[in-house]
Amino acid sequence: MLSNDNDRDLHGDDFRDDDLRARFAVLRKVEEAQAPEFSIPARRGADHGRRRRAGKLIAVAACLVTIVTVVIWLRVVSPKPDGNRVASITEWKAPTDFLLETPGRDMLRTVPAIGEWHDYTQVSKPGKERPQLRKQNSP
Amino acid sequence: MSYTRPSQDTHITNSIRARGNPRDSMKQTDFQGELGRLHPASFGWALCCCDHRREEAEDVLQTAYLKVLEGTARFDGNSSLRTWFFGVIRRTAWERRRRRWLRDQIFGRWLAREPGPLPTPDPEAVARGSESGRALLQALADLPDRQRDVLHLVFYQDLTVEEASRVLKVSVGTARTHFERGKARLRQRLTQPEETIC
Repeated sequence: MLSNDNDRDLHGDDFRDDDLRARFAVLRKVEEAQAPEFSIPARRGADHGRRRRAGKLIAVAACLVTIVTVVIWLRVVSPKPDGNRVASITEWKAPTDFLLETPGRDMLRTVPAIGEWHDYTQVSKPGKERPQLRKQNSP
Repeated sequence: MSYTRPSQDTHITNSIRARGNPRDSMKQTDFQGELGRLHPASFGWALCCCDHRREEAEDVLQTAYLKVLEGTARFDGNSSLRTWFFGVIRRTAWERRRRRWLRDQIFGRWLAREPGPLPTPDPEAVARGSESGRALLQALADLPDRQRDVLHLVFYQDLTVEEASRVLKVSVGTARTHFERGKARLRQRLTQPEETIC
């Protein structure tokens, strides 16, 4: 039963396909009647090759000119580096160094001797405003 | 049902296969003769690829001939000559479409105007066709490209679905699907009254 149905479907499909095929055949007949004469175009000869090579050369030259122009332009436009040398690391000071300048910081720079740490008095040395500690002899 | 049909140009293919690349070793006149025999069918396929714009189809066909003669397109003998040449025509038409689209995009923007509309099919040529031919063309125009191409190759060019798949560079299953869907859709369009199609 199933095969019969399939056969019928196939035959029906065949029939409908034949209809489509016939329509296409009509169209084909019309279009083939309108087809232009067969003529092989002349092969593009040496002249075409020369023109093609010239075109490639021109394209390459244009690319080169563009690259050179861009490089020159970049060199002209980019800021010139200063003549000053960059400070060495030993000379360099941080811009925020002043924040470390706290009162009494100088005191920390002197190294106290062992056993002489007590009885220091503040005296002002001539020429220096900063107070210094001097050892006083104990009685 | 099968769409197997002995290829009409088997002898051409065999002769080229035996002699190698047509451009290199075959007599130019032989090859031109074979292209000439294929010419009407090739023109029909070019028309299909160019949405039935006659001038464009002629240009595409000439470009395809040039490609073959200059060796840009080479026949490797893996398929029939017709299948291969139809592939060349299809690719040429596609390249032409792409170039036109690019030109419209670039120059359309530069000139600050919309890309030009696609040229319509030659009305005179369509009018010369029969009533059923016109109806068929209208119905085909509503189909997606792939479906239309497969239907054209199978019904118009008498290729098998397998050969059509080779021309369109798709798998056989895909071609078969497009073929069945296209057929159903085409029948639907053809049975609809004229005013609903337009």
